[in-house]
Amino acid sequence: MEFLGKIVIAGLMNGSIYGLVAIGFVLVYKSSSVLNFSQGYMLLLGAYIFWFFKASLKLDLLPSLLLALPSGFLMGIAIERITLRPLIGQPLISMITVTIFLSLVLEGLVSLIWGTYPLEQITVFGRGSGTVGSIVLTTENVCAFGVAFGAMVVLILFFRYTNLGLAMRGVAEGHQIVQSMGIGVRRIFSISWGIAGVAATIGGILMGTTLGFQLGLSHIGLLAIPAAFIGGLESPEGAILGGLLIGLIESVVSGYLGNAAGVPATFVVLILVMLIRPYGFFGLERIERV
Amino acid sequence: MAHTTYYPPSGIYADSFKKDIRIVKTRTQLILAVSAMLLLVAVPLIPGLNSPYLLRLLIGIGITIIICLGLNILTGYCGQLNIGQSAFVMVGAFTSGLLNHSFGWSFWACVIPAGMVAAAVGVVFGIPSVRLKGLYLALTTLGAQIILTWVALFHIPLTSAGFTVEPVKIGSFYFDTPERFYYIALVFTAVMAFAAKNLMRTRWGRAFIAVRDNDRAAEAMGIDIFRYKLIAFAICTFYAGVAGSLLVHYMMWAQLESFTLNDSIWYVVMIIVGGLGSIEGTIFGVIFITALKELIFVIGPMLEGTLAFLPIGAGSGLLLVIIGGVAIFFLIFEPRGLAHRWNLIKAYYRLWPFGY
Amino acid sequence: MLKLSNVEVKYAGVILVLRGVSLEIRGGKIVALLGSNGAGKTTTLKSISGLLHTELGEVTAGTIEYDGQRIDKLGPEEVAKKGIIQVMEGRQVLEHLTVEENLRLGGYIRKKKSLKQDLDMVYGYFPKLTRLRNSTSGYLSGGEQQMLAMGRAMMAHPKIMLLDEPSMGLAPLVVEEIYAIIERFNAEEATGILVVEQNARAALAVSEFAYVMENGRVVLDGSSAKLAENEDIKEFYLGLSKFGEKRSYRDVKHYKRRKRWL
Repeated sequence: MEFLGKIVIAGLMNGSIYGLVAIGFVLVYKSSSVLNFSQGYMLLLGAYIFWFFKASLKLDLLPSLLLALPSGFLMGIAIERITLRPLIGQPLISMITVTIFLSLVLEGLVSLIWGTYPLEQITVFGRGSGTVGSIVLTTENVCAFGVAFGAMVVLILFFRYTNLGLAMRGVAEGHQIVQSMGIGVRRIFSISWGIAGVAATIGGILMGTTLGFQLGLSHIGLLAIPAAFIGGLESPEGAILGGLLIGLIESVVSGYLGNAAGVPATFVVLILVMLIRPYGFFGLERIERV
Repeated sequence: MAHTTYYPPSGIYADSFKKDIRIVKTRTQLILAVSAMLLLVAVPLIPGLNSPYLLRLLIGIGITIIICLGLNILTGYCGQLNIGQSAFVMVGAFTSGLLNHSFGWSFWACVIPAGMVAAAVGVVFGIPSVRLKGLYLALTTLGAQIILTWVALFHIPLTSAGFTVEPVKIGSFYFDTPERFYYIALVFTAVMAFAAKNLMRTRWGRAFIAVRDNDRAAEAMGIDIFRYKLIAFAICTFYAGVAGSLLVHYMMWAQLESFTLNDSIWYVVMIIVGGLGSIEGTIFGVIFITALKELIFVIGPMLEGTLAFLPIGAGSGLLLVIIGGVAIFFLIFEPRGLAHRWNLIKAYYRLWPFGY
Repeated sequence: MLKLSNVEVKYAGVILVLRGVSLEIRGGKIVALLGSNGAGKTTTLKSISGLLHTELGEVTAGTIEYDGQRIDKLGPEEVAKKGIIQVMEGRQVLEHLTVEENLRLGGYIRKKKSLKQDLDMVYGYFPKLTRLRNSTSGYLSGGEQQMLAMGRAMMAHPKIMLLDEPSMGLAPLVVEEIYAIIERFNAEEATGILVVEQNARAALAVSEFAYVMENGRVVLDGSSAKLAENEDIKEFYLGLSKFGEKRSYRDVKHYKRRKRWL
């Protein structure tokens, strides 16, 4: 029982980070229908930028965060401006391919500046830990969980009640329609990439503190993709729930069947779930009027 | 996807359906095709061109073309995204390798079963396509990659470690050097490419395109979309299996590391850069991307030495930036793939000097 | 006042669609633009609203002026901010958004405070939408979607509304209902309306002035009452000849009326 509790908690912690990264996918997909394969590498770059402020410039936690998050926003905007904007109106698949190449560029950039070896480990949230029953919780875990949930709530409210959020959802449906209402599609793209950059940076910082700042961080992208899919590609709440679910399955299966079985088992479960709900839990169904 | 206006050569009319679907329509095309083929046959004999390095590169390109042809049939023609193609290559490779290693079957006996087994596995992973559409289908094929790799790694002792495979032989003649295997690769690539081109002008090929362009309308016309999706999956993975079989008998060694998710993504990139739904485009794309990747491996380590002041790994990092950048620029200027540009050049040549 | 003078439009730099169109819409009036398929009506609207720029089109000659300022180089969102809102052809709603969310987006360029009031105004014109406010707009019927698309444009309190074929694919009763609302909206809000139609009868009935387009040119204009009496219009757009007499096949054989303006 104690063992189960432990792995469930571990799964939820990891899962909330998957969820956060998945939110990045969802944001970009929602406004531009582009599946951003470079999300994992944006996470990497974001994490390294934070490390730069925190470890190289030796700033405190708060100023580093205050510098890193806007940098993440700018990173997202710059990526959109340089690589995706020229492709507006071109086949979607070209845009998706560009994000694949983008991940090469981002990985190259990181290894060009910081090298390929893991960076020096730094403490971010302090080394506190507490216990719930017999289960140990570290500060990092709790922070990750809290941030992920906070982000989910904020985004749900944002998409439902603000004009900008509504406009983002509108852009996903049809560019001409929203343009005819005076909404600038390009601005919306920029902003959604910017927010995706921030989400990636937050995820990167959280992952970096638990796993170390290293190139392998980008692989989180691999598990965040199914999280976004199972939740439904358009839904922030789905992304978080999908992330948690995937974290949970992975952790439980690895706990009982051995470490390597976790990821494949996750995929088996996912494919079965997707057969029953082809648009994920909260994804939008294709509306077909024949 | 590849909606390029087709300008037929001047004076060539198709007054019957049979003429319209001919692959080779003019004498120029015939001459060009035959001479290209002759050139390719002669490559190992021409001094200067016949370095083992170039031949190995060409063999690699040939095998990759087979893999990508299959992928383009599924993704480009039938519209089903597959980002797990290298897993199916692996299935073919291991089937062929195991048959050879454990039962002593020769390559010629292994290659078809390898394709069939890969196709069977492909169909199993194609089943979710009955419900999943578009990008969501990417998830199952991604799952195929991960699940199949896991099975090979943990559940089949032989494949997790890697094992030796015999080279291809006819009688007692072994195709064990690049010069010799080159011809095997060339023949297979040519036959598979021709088969693919041919397939696309049959009933099946047209059904695939209908399913891609509008599945509802296709269904209303009486096309059983699920059946054709599965057929496309089977063909795609059959190609992968055959290529896998070729690969192990060429390398004479079967190992898991040759079949990663990265490879799968590169295959998708190749067909997109080349042109979705185009056989010629597949060939262009494979050549273009292989050349780009080759640059990483050749120039990267060289740069490493000269840029010693940068952190470790910076040289390859710089190259990644350059190559990614070049590719992005390429896509921005040619978002419809090389095949589109190729058609434009052909049209320009045909309409010259009155092209407008 | 919106004024098009001698507007020429090319798509992709090669396809000439409008060959010099001139027309005028004064504030508060309804103007109809008639013509058959491919005459260039929709392109005219798109050249005004700026949507042309999103589909490789370009105004290559002539000017489009709104209150003395040229707007033919502006992007669609800037034109919309000036108060010219296009309702696109074919009931374009944002499918996955609810009715109310669609409407809220329509008021995107307005101040937030007036949102409630604007919504009430639109629900006033389209009481049907009130009931449907929380349903997904993709599942509405054709008529309801058309109402929603128009309501969304009304939310912006346009100075000029460009309506593209509001009657397309709708039942005659629904067409009547929609045109009644167009008339009322025009009267109450003093919005200028340019309505593009195939359904000449409906459009001529509500409009004050009308233009007829063919092959990218305006070939006929005049007050709607006068045009409705025009022999050619009757023959080609209203399907009447000789004051509503039944046509016999013998007449057709003997005399095929030619369009006089060609």
